[in-house]
Amino acid sequence: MKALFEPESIAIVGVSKNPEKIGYKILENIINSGYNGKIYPVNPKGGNLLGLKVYSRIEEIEDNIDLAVIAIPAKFVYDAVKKCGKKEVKYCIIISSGFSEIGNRREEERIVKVAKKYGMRILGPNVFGIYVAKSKLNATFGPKKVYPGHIAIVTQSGALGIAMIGKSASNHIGLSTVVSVGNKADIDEADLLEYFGSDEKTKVILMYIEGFRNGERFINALRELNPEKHIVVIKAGKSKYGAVAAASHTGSLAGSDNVFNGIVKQLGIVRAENVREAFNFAMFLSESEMPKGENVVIVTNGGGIGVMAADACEKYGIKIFDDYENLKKTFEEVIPPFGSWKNPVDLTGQANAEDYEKALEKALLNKNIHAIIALYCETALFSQNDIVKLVRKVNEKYKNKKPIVFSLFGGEKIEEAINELNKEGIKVFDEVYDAISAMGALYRKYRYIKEYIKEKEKKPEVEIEGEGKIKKIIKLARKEGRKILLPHEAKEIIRLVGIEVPPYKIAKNINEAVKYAEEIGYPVVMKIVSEDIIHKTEAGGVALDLENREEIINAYQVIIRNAKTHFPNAKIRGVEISKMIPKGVETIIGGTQEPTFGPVVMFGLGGIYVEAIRDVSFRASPVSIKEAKRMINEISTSSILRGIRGEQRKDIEKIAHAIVNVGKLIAKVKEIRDIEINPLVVYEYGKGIKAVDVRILLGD
Amino acid sequence: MKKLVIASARENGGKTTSIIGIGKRMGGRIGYMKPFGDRLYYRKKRLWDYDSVSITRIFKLEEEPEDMSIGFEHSKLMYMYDKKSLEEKVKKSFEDISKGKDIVFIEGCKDIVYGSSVGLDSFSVAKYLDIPILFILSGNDENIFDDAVRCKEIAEFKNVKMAGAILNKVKNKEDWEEINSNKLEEEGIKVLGIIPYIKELTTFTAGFVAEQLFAKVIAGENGLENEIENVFIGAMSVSDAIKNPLFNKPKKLIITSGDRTDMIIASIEDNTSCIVLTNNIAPSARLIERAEENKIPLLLVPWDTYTAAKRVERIKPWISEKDEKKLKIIREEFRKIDISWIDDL
Repeated sequence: MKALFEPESIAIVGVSKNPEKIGYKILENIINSGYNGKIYPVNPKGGNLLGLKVYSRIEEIEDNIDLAVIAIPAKFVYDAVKKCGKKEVKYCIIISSGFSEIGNRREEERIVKVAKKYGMRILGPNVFGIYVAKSKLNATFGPKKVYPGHIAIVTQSGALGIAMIGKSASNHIGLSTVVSVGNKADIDEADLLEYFGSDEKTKVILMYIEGFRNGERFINALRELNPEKHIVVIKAGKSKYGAVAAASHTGSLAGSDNVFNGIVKQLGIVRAENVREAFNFAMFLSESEMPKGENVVIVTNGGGIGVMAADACEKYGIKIFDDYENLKKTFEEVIPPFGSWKNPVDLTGQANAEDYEKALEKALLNKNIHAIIALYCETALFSQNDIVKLVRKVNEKYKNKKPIVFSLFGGEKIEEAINELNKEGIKVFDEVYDAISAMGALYRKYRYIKEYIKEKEKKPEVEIEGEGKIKKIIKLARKEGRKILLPHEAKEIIRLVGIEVPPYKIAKNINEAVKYAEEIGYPVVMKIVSEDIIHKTEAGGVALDLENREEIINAYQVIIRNAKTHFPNAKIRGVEISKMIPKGVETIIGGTQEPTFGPVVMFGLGGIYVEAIRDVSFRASPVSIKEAKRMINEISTSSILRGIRGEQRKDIEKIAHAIVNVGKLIAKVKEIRDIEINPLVVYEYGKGIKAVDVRILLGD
Repeated sequence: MKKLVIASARENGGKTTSIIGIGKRMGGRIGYMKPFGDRLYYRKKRLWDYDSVSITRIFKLEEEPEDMSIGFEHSKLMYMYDKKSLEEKVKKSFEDISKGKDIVFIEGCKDIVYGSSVGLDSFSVAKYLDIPILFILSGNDENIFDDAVRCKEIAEFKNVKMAGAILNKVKNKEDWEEINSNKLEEEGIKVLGIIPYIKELTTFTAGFVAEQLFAKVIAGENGLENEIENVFIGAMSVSDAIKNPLFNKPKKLIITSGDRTDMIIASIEDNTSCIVLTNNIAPSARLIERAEENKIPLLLVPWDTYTAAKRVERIKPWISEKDEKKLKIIREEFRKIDISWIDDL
């Protein structure tokens, strides 16, 4: 990727003398940005432009070309790319639009194919270009003014990307790189992550994503990424309507939002709801040190705002330091008579700049305090100048030592102060919730690094025992033209990956039904076995708690008759007799080949509740045991599994293993499109789990 | 004691209705059995026949409905009996059930062929017990003629006595009374009664639909006794639906998807008995509330509209002891026919 981000020579194919044209603006931006490499404008008309010779054909350039920027109508792009290939250009940025975003996917594929033939990579098409601070390269048709910094912007939307560059400039936000990926015909976010992972200048990667061509690749790239890098993502296409708009916008499909939220937690990504929040997070994270512990202190000169901050801390998962002895010792002498040294440390409205500074210093120097939320309400006792000086001083002195976030609240003068500080690259918030949300994002990353690094070193295993047997079952189903495995086949697969299934047998006639029930031992459950009958209960194909021969005979007759009556064309393979198991907590484990993100695994409270309350958690597969436990703890009804009202704790360890195994199965056996164990009945700690019903669907 | 096997050539011919009609007309102590059950009523792991349930409740019989049937599936009968032991079982059951009775009805299988392979068809039962068969013939004119002749032939072949035939659901009663009956008589088949087609007897309740479809009742439990006479599939726009005469008929069941808010609203506002919501899609809370207010049961099923419609179509009417209207019609219709032939049995 070096030749893309740090090219020694650039050709701009399609330069124009018309200053309103993209071909002119790109050349102008490259020259004005102070790029030190060689620049070769190309246009069939030749001549000179902006002091440079214009080549009529790329083949005329004698020098080697690292990067070609193509800004010509879509119908000419293929030939231009082919010529670049022949010229051994390393990277092509195709600015032109008119490809898959309007349904012209075939032409896009043709271009990628020819580029690959010459070993050349393509960025785009349908992009606005690339900005790289360290190369002093602005090869975009966007704003001229970009401040160098530590945030890399990767955007799927060109127009939004240009607007983000403008916004970052007006807010004095420093950028290391801006890349527009457009239709992602070749280079996508996964390729870029690989580069940013080793780019020292980039601390935060801010991404605007609508959908993925290959989400699994993106997830794998995130798994490999240097954990010190912050990823802030705006994922659009969340709502039903947003998803439709996103699909028509770039020709790519937006993935399931629930799945993405799970992946966000799994891979330490910060998800922003909107551009403002994304910039808030990105700016704060790029400037902040990583905390060394969880103890956070709120220092405020207003009681009300302190209480709001405490609420916000709870919302964003920030631990408020509560060692009162330590707090008293630290703050007692700097607190005015009516103030409070308890956290939030309330200096009251009587405090002046000096008092405030002393309190902050105390917090900053205390090794047991790991991060500070500094809140300021405008008072008559300290001026705009005082607060600007104070923030500037604290920032200079402690910037690299401890995370501190400022929120200043007041009128016009305070707003001016905020603007002044932001212009200096010191992120100061006006809204306390924004400030604490940013601190929350930092802490989520802190915990991610702390908890995940070891797991990352030991990547979750994908190997499964019995894979051969599993494939054999699938092969048989395929041979019979079935995409839904029969219940006993699905159960066998689940059993092969180490999840306990109650004993079962398939009876082909009433004699066998009675025989098997007696072998398995009463009570038993009977279910119709037919690939044509999916909703067995509603088809009258299930009988529960059968305790003797007579009940087996009755149930067998009913089940067979219902199937014959309601589904006369169904192929009936028999009746499954399985052990009726004792009651426990019903949960669900699912796995699916998610169209956007690839294999994912799901856990939730099961049985009938999964439809009603949809209390589930998702992760990209495979997952580690720790991750599986996080999935269990994440659902809002997890307290049921931990034991409530005197009930015993349930066998969470066994559930976690089952999640891991289902994750392995869906990740390894790609022929399986969907797995669902519902219910997976969970018993008390040490007593295990049982997969009662299993559905497995095969892909095409 | 009078005894009679009631058989029909076709499913849903009106055997149970005839038993109720004759039984009510006769009075006295009634005995009933249906050796080969075919309308399964499965509750709390016990298995009955719906018709046995009807007769037991309507005539307040003391016997348990589950003792009135020997089996419900060929496989069970094959598993438990051979032909000889089955004959003995039929005889024993008859003996038990007929004690102290004035008249015993033995209801045959759904048609004349059903049960032949296991020896539990209507002719075999009549033969085991040496009881005459009363045929209930229904359908169009040709069906009745064909079925009558075929039933007579089989009865003669099997050496089973034939009491005659009651013609049920007859659409042109006068024609039959004046002309057609004579033709049957010429064929040697006594016509013992003609019951016209009565639409009210073909209705069923919303609760029965819920039961037959294994549906979840998500609203309108207080309307489960609503009668259904017509079925309408709400697959078109509401503006087109309201132009359809069927949509404007009363006592209708609507089949539509749970996300068809417009259709559900229009149905609730119209004279609808119940709504079957397909694809397991429940409507909004507001619609559920409105259905509740209007006493219109909302029945949620997992199938698509086509499958749900097919299943609704397969529902066969059932006469419950609570169906006073139906029972009254049956009583009145059977009062019109001469039953003196029973004295000769």
